[in-house]
Amino acid sequence: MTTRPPAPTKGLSTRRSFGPRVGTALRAALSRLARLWIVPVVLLVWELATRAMRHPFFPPPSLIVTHMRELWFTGSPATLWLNDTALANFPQSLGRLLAGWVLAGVGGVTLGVAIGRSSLLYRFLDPIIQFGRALPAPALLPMFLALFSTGTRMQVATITFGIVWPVLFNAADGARSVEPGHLETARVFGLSRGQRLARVILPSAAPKIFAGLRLSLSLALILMVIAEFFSTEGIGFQLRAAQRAFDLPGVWGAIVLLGILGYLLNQGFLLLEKRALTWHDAKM
Amino acid sequence: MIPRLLFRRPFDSALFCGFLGVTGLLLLAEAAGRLGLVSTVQFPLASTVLVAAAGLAADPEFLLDVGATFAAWAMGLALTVAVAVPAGLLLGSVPAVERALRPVIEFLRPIPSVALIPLAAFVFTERLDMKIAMIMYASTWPILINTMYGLREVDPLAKETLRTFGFGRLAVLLRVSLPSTAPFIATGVRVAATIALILAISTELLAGGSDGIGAFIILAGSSPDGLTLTVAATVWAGLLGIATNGAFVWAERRIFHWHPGTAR
Amino acid sequence: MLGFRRLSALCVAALLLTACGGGGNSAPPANGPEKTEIRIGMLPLPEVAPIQIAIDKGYFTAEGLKVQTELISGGAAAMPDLVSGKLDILHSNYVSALLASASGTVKIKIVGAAYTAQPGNFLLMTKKGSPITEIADMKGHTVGVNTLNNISTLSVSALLKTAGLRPEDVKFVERPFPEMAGALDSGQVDVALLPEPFHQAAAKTLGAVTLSDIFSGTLTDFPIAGYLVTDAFAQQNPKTVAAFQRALRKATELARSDSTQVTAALQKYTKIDQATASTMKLGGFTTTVDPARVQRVADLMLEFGYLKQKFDVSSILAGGASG
Repeated sequence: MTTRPPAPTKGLSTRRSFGPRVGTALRAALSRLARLWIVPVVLLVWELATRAMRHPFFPPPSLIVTHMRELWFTGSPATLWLNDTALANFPQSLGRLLAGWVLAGVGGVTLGVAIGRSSLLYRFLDPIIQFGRALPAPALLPMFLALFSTGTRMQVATITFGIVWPVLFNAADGARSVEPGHLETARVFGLSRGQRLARVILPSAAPKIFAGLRLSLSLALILMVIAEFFSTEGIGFQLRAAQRAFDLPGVWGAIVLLGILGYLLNQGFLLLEKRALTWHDAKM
Repeated sequence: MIPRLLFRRPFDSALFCGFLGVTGLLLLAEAAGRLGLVSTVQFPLASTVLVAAAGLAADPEFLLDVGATFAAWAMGLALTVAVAVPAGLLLGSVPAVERALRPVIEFLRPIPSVALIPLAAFVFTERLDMKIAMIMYASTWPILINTMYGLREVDPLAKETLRTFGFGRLAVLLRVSLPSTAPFIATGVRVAATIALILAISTELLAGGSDGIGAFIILAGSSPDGLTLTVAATVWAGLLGIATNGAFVWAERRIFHWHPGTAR
Repeated sequence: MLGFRRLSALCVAALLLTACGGGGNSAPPANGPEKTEIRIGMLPLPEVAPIQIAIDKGYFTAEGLKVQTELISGGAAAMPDLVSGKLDILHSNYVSALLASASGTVKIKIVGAAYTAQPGNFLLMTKKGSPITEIADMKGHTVGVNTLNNISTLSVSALLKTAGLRPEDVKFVERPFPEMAGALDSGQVDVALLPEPFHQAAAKTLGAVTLSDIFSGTLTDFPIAGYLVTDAFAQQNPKTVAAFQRALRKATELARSDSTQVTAALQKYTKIDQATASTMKLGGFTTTVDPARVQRVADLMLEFGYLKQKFDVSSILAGGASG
């Protein structure tokens, strides 16, 4: 925490006149856009390569995009162009993904901080945790089907179980490496256990916890696909259905959709993290 | 060491506590089945699974499957390390490359490898190649990212010192950056090892083959007792995970005992 | 990133290899099969017992073929393996085969028959005491099948039609066979389509009740599965295909006449134990592909929307397949 660079002070920019400020903003936006130069290059190479190959299993990206449009984006602008198929599948999938992620976050941080602070608990649970995280999720589906029946509950449970590990380990690491001096000080000042947890342990473990949460979010997308293997709706099911029907552009479309979704989730998370950590920095 | 392990308070022994934890969980699972909380038709009793798992240990065919999975895992992980560490070093030390490739990485990283299996099945003409490719795709990311993060934490003073002595960029990378990044890389490899194991089994399970724990699970599907066999095979997958993770932790402790970040 | 680049280089290389190396075998003997080492992908189901019999009895060896079997997770899922050359011959249900050909993404030929359903092979079952006692009662209920959009859903749809129901009147859910009994027991599915030996096991452990012996009556002699090769493979290796067909036919005839051979074979490539195996009826091993029957499958697929237009089955039948 101490190594975090100080946030830029606002005073500097307020003194500047209006014109240059727009200019800098524009320039900043342009330079951010320019950083994405690789995207069109990759797309172009991909398009040319697949066109040259003319292989039915490798449709060019232009075809994939048209196919994705036909499949999911023929709706009205009011629904972000999503059509009925998309609306019947995307929100459900995303909802389960986020529910699983939140549960994994809460559960992982709770358990992680507990085993990070208590070495006795750590000794008790370590073999079980190591065992649990090495289990392949596709092989675990029968267990979750048995415990939670089919449907949303089972899918959320599968996602949670599959992604809780990075949060758990990072939270435990973070909680373990709290500077003893800080805790001592807090004790001297008469902070209760709860206060110590909220004021000292959690803030100092926060960067590690966030790193774990970010990893979990990418994993959640993977688990979402696996959890939807035995379902009848969702993005994972769409992928499987396209595969079954030998609709190769559909398979690619689902994969591209997952990539875009993962990118957006990650960007959203970074935004959230920035806010949370600056807020917490400001408070410290 | 041994007398200490025996005569100190039992709760100080990781082995003893771990044993109690596992036994407790197994008893809980057994009770859930016996008390009818979970139907035994839906999910076998813990004792049934343990008996089946013990039986598998004596089944030479299953042992061959474990060997095949393990071989694919080892090859996949070794190749991943060989590719991801240099890539991480490059991306971590040349910011321009990292900036340029970041959008592509952020797009590729979340794509589930299980979703890529059907496509990979079209491309690869050998099952082992396909398994290894799937392992590499999924387990590259933790190594790559940990290597990049590790480079950021390198003491700038040490780099500066070496540079003032006239060492080139590559020499600085090899003499200062790489050694001080090594613990980070090791952590990345340990995380990747678990992912690689999961991917090896998942690929076998979803894409088929003639051997491997995943192929055994397909085979188990032919029998009405398939569920018990599947769960028993999964138990072995978990044990394999514990063993490999333990080996990595042990190796990390021995190699990086001087590094403060390897307390575990 | 380097990882991905190298991987894509690997992919391209692999592609080129498949494109150029199709059937590239070292100089074959004058009259023997063009390709002597073949890999067969199959599900660990009773219906492929003749393959195991042909291996054990040396029928393949006698034809100059060295056969290796691999397990697949499903006919549709393994289609890419056939195309990429990981497998030379694929055991697949006809629905997946027809779907694949009709999609135009793969060009395949049916070289042999595996199984034609007989009464008692597949049962629609319900839990003991279920209110569903006839087909018409299935309306609004959940039906468990091993794979969606496949031979199971197609045949259940055809059965529903006899009771005046549409496929939309039920809800199909996917569950592997070993988990189906549990799903019935807990009410996750109301009706389950189970093959042998799973329906025997469900009846024994759960007391599950038969709702319908699905492949009797109007659906009798329903063709289930056959063996596929790619079009290119069939063209380049006609003698290999013929050798495979002869060996398979010989083994199938043995399987039909002597059920102990099947029981013995099952011990080798499945996890079905001896006691269970001996309770199985089987009997649907088929020596030849009946074009009319497979055409019926294609027509049903058209009727229930699996196919968009009429598909002529004879276009994908290899020479020698229909006897």
